Amino acid sequence: MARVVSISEQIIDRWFVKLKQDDTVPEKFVEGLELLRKQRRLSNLDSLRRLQVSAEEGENGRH
Amino acid sequence: MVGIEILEVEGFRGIGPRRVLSFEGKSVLLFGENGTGKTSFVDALEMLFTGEVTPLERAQGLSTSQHGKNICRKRTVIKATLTDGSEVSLENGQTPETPTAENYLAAAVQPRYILRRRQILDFIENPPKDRYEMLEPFLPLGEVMNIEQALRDAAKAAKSECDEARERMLTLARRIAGALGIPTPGQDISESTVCQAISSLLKSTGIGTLRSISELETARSSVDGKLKSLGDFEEANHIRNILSAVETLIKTLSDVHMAPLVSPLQEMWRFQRDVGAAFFEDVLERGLKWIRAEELDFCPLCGTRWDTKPRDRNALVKRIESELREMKGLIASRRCVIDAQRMLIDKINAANAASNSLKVLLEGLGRGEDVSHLDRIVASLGSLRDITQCRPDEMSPDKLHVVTDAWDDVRWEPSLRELAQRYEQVSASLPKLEDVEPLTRLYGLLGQIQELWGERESVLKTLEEATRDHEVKRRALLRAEEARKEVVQELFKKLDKEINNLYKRIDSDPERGNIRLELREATRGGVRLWKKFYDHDGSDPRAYENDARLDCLGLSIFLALRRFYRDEHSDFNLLVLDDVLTSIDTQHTVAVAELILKEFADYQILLTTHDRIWYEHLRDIQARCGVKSRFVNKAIHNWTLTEGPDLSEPDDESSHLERLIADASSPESVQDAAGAAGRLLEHILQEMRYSLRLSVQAKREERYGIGEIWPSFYKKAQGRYPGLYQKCQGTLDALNIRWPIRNWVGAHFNDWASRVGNQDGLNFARSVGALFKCVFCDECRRFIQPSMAPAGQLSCRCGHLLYPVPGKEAVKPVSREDLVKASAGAFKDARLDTELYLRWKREEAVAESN
Repeated sequence: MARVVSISEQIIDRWFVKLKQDDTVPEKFVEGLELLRKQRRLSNLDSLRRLQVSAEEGENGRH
Repeated sequence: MVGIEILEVEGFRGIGPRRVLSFEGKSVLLFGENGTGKTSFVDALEMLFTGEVTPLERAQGLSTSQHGKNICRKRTVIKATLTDGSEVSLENGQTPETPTAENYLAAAVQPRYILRRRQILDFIENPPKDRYEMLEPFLPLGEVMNIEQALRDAAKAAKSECDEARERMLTLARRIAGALGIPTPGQDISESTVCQAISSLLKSTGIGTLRSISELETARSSVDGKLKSLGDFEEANHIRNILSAVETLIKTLSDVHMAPLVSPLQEMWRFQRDVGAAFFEDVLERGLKWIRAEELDFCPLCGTRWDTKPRDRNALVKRIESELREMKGLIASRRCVIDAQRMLIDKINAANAASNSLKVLLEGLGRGEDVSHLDRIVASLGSLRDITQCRPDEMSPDKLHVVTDAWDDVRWEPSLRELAQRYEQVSASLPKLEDVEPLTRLYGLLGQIQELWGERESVLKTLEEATRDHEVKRRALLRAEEARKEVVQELFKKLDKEINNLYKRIDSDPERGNIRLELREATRGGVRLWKKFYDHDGSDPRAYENDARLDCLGLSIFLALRRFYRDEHSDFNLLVLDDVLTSIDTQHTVAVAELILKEFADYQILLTTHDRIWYEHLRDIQARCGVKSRFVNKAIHNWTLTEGPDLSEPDDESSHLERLIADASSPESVQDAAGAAGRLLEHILQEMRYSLRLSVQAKREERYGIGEIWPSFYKKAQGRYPGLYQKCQGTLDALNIRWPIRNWVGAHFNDWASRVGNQDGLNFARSVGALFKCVFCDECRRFIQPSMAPAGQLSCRCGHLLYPVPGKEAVKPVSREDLVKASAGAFKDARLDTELYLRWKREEAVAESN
């Protein structure tokens, strides 16, 4: 069996791939999530609540 | 790699006095019949590494802290010495001394390396959600689950914002509808509805229709323009206010009459004339009170003494009272004057206030001449008020006539009427109120709608943002759940492969494989278990499989998970299987045993069994699998409440007995020797019972003592194994007489035992020692057992101890290597290779016939 290195990391990597493929999720939002990941605050509710979707991106979808 | 060297346990579960289970860094095969304390060692290991015992924690009403301790001991000691020299004890806690030991102990905290007989079906029998929970320690998803929960909460918060904004939208829509007088909308109000309603209001003004709310400002400007075109409405309003103020002033001045004052004044003046004296009513009243109260003998006003006789003073009092009665009329008229004064002053003040209001309005319009005329009226009113405010005594008839005449000369009414007439003429040319009012109301309404719509636009923006925010976070959560399920499912596929590999080693039936773990999509965490059963691929194994196969499946899943855990913690190699082989049916047990010993050869295994036959089989399988040198085989011979499990080795017991016999000089030491001999004899007979397949009368829990086994052993040795009997006859016959001496030192008191002498006890001990040498081989450390051939021959494993059948040639046992060689590999593995075996037998038959 292959050696498993941090399942959580694998899942988060997969999640970001899926987010980037999803046209309905704005790029800025994904970038914000990536920043939170670097800061290890992805599970911080306040940070996620503050991560708003900008209006122009939301209206026009992915640029 | 670190492993366990020694496990020491005292006062825990079924272990009373200190017992040492020596691993020597190897795996341990521990045999002990039911209730001899095998599981106590397993529990002790779990307690040491995890701090609790799972079966105690799971059972309702039980706990490790309450029920872990041995009932006869106050002190609990559990201590493990690891192969790197580190010591871990329950008393001192886990304080790893080396980094390797640290890794080892960190991994040992999760008890996922221990499988007990009763747990073997746990994973299969549990509902999907519990299965997922069982897998969680192997799948450290805490961080991911926290992220999902935070996203879920964030999406929920955004949804609340949406709901709040929607509620505010509805409130605003209702207020707009209420202001326009149209039916209350169910949800939002549309722009066209509002425009339509406003257009119908604008229709009467001739402004035109409203196509969008953006034109509202223009429409409002148009209404304002219409209002301005009607003229200076502010001036008209001002003049209307002046006219109103003039009317008010005329009315208040009309109320100012002197007559109500003059009449009581004249009455008062008449009284004063009649009385002809100054008013001293007050003085009289106070004097009278003083006289009565103090009974003084002089006048309170002038101090003149009067006749002190009470009769004279009473006469004075009567005189004063008479005076006062006369003054009453004057007093009443004076009060009337005061009342009339007050009423008149109120009216003058009202007229004064009305004139001041009018004055302000006239000044606002810049009409100075009218203001100065008004000032004259106000000045006359002031004079009138001054005289009215005088004390009635000071108000003389002459003064009153002068002021009244002056007020009459003002002639305020004609002048005010003339003023009103002039302003009415001006007002006629200004806009009318009835023309202005609808436009003013419309102007205000349009302003209100404009404000409400602006607020609605702002709330709508908030709603759109919150909706977008909610949608994006919801989708992000969906993607997170998908990612988790995908990755976990991929891991399950790897696990499936491992489970199937292991399962196939036990059950190679191709119609019963394809075991799959599947994450339930509908739930956050749930695992389904599928298995192929002939053409039913993907069925719940519980539906078709028998208990034996379910046991094998449960064991395969556990072992696969154990390997999975090893991938994460390569330094941790402990595997504990507590009596699990005996829960699997005989058909599969050899395969399971071979699987464990071969596939998990790099693990340190603690394997317990309560089945003596399986214990022996497993020892053979160890040799066949080539892992014999990696195993320590231990047997628990006995268990008592006070002594706990007896782990002593037979040759150690024999050496101990020899020492006791050598030192036996006192009756007590002979008793010790006889006691040890009794225990060794019991041990020997337990071994013989299995190896010679002795028939004994069945007994509860199979706890057979010397009394039950000896007669059968002696009889079988005489009849079936004459080689043994002939060679050891002296010892066997002696023991056949002496074995009851065991009771001499036993728990039971016998009358005859009290007459047993020291020499008898010593002889019994010596006979047991001799018997041990007859049945236990020092070379291979195994007891004798029947040889495969010829029948009736007994030998140890290596052939050092050999009891041939009288008259027949002794046949030394074939070594494993020789047997493998001779059978052309048929006995190479734990499982007999039937094809090779049959070929070997055919060749043997051919050779014999030639």
